[in-house]
Amino acid sequence: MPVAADIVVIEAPSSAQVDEQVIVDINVKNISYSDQYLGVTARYDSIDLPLQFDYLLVAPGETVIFGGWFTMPNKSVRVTAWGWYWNGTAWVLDDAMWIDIALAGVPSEPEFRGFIVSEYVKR
Amino acid sequence: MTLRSFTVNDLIKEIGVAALPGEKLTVMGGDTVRVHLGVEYRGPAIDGAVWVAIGRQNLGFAEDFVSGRIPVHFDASFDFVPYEITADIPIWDRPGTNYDIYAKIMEIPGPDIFTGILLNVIDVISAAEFRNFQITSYDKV
Repeated sequence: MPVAADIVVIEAPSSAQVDEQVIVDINVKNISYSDQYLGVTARYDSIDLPLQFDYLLVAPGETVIFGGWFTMPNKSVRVTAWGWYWNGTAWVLDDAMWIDIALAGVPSEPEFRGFIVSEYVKR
Repeated sequence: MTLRSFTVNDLIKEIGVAALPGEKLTVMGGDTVRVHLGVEYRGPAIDGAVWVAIGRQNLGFAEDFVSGRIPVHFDASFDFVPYEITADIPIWDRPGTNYDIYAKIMEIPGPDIFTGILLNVIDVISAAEFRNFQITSYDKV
């Protein structure tokens, strides 16, 4: 259970087409009883997702949005976000959440065509 | 500087001797036949395997030389995307003529996908072999 940086929701489309710009908003709430520096890091699959802010000073009970975007690759992806708070000496990992974004327009069934032997070479 | 001498066989192995579908390729035991395959795919991301065999088509296909299982991956795509796959088939000393080739994509959702069978396209000859090399006579001329 998080003590300060509670990731409330990750807002992003459930699907996107290849090369489409995908906007991701990570909503983080300060659930502690004091002002806190909250930070978010995120990745889609294994690639870092740049965010608008590295960290923000957040009042108790306030929710802030860390926004970012990426270009949809030619496959479905998983976006994972981690919430951090500053304890005065170090950043402490406090929460994590992920969502899946499906590649849109992909036929559900595999389809092949033109399967041929094009050449054979003696080596 | 080191000079390396090439035999004709070395050179053939470096550059290969290619045949297009329907053309005859003659190989020897110890050679490798590299088969190039083409296919287009669309759909979800899937993994599968390719299998290529040289043999003879009768009632079934008798596989005499095989590539073994070659893992392949197809990315998710809503348009057909071309893929080129290569498969190496080692040839051992089993001389014969008019071998056939086929390939299949297997371990995918649904039935296996087959190429057409290329008939009578591979001849396998024995590796060059000499015996009884001797001086049989010597004459003054």
